[in-house]
Amino acid sequence: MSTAFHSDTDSFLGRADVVGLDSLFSAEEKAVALQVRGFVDEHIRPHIARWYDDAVFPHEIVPELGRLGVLGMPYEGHGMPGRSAVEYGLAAQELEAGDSGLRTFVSVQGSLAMGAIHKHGSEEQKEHWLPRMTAGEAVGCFGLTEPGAGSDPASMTTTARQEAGGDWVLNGTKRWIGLGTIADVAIVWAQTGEIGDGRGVRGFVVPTDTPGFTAEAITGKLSMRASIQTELHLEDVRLPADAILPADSAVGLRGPFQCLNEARYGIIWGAMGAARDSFDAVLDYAMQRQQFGVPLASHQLTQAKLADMAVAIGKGYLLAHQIGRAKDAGPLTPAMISAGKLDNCRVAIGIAREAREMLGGNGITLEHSPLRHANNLESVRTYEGTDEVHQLTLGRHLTGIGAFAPAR
Amino acid sequence: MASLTPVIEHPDFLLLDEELDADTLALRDRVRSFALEHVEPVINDHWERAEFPYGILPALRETGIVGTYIQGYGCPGMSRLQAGIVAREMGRVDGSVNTFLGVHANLGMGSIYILGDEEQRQRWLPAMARLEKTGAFALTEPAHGSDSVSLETSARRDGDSWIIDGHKRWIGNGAAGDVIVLYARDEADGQVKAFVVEKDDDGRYPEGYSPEVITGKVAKRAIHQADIRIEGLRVPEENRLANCESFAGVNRVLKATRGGASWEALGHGMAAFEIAARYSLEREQFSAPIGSYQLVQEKLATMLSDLVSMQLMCRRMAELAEDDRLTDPMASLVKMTTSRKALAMCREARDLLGGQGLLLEKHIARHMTDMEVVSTYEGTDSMQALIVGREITGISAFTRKHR
Repeated sequence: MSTAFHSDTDSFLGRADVVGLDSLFSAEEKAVALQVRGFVDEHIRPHIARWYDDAVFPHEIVPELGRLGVLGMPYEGHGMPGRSAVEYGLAAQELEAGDSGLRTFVSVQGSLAMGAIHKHGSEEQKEHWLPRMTAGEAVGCFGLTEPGAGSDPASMTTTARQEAGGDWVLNGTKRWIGLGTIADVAIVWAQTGEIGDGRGVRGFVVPTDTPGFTAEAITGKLSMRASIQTELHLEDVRLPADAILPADSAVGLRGPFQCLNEARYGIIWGAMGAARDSFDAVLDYAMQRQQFGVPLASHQLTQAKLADMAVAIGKGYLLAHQIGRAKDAGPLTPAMISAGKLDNCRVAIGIAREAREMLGGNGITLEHSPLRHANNLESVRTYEGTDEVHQLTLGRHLTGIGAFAPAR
Repeated sequence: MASLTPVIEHPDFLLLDEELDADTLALRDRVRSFALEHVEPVINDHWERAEFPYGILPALRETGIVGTYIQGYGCPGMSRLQAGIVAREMGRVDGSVNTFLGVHANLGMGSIYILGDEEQRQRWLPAMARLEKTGAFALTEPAHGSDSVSLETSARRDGDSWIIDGHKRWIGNGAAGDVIVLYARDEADGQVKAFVVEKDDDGRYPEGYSPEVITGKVAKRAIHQADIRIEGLRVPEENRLANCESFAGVNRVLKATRGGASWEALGHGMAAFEIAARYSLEREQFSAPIGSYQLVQEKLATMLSDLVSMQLMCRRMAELAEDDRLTDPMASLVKMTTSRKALAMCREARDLLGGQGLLLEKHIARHMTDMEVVSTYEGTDSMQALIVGREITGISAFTRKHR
């Protein structure tokens, strides 16, 4: 093991930590990270290349993740773990060091599906779903995006119409929905008012065995292959009146946006986990790979790349840490979330790509993690807001002028 | 959808193709048609299943491009520019099939053409030009990629034949090819020689040649690369290419195709631009095509700028090569530039397509991952930079051991 060359670092974040990140976290927080890392080492790393190659999501690990305590991790009540935002962030980066698909599962289940019920649901909805979802006995998905409505969810065309008797009837198609084919419950956002007017959007708790609800997996993915994305079809899905998420906080697009912000928070940390694992993989390789009679690691170009990666990883963790502490102290601003999501994703994908390049031909197989991470991060960079969405969110924050829609 | 503009229809902004002669234009259009009609419809499925699309070979033969620069023996005898246009138009649709052509024709047949004697050329080249037999080029080894000059596979003369032992890796078509050109070091004089390993009439490799397809590849999945164990492999003296006396022979073969990866990168870059630009007109968000947004237009303009730079560099490189004035550092500068730009363009285009860009059906993620391979083979970015660096400074920095 190359750790023999680097016995001087004892940071829990390993050799990538050149800026003393270790000192920013308490012993309890580090213990959370190491516990999740142990799980990833035991249950994920030995199998992830095969899962990715075969495009399989390991459904059987869901209850294990429940036992690990990472589902609905930052929420309290109804049996949920109630850990801090920083602890949740540390767990997210350990999971994503294993694979982005795994962290995505935890985000979809915890931040999106459980988050929606926790923030906006009725007491009955919470009691019915949250304990089982915390334990990993029930899986949730979150249906917001549509084929024609990605960055612009206000243009969604899925409708919810209330009948005289009080029942709701949902119709429409949702796309890119994580876990749809294995979910027991779907949080579906639908238009109750006029299409194009975000104020009429409401959320519904839809058991997936409701007649008219079908889900199919999206195939041919070249990213996050060990994860499930689906298309949901809702054809006259009839729900009782109390299926709507009743809270005032769930009226309009701020309902789903609050959930997305929770997921974005996890991504800020998660992306750094993928970057750190790419760095560790290429550092090991550079120490061992001999060309021209010396290790790759002895070349100046290699050392410069490793140095730039470690510095970038250090800055990414500092950004995540700052946002995590701020979240534990009070609500985050949209600008803070966008700054973290925008930069940590693009920095992480740059590191994973550089690591792939340094691995040469060997870097194109699943034997080494960086290309898998780089390909996964293509999804992570796109979902929960593309670069442009976050740039324009920050741009609006800085200028007071919204530039999302074309000038008319 | 808004109608396509001329530069999206044909991304040749500075009108370079207008200067091609009639033969070359016809060649371009023939390759383009072949790629669109025969490769594009089947490639995603094969790519996903990691299988080579053998069904395209009859149509490939009909294009008359097999054998590229080779004169005679049923080969087309193309100019460097024509060979470049072929690689460009193939890369523009798919990298795996282009690599097949590269290893079969440019490197496999090229080795026999450049290093074989007349009898050897006659023995193998015509059948290979007709694709009745496919070829491979077995040079790199597990421990010798960038420094393949230090290859360790050994050959020992034993009467009228040679005994070869060693280990080859990343050999395109090396587990299916009928005619494998294998490079090994002669134990007697320490020099690298070339040997042709053939399947027998039943399609079996000789004893001692044990190829295994490398699995788990995340790029260029539709071309098989082999890991080959060679143990006591016996090759007759008549299968030793007569004119390969040392590693300089390998260099002559590589030199004849040098620049191919740059043209291929250009093809991937053209695809990235076309896919991104078309999508920007199709996809509407906030009630307008995303191509109407400033951020998107700036990205497309940057992509086109990079594309034109690549087109100009490749064109000049072909002219210099045709005049035999292309030096190694010149070719390295072009490879370094085109690889970086094409990779960046593919990534930008993939990003611009959002979630759709993750799917095979949109092609761009395949171009992007295939481009990782182009960036590595024919010399990594670092190797090219150090070749140029040595030219600038006069000092070799590949390794410290000679200092």
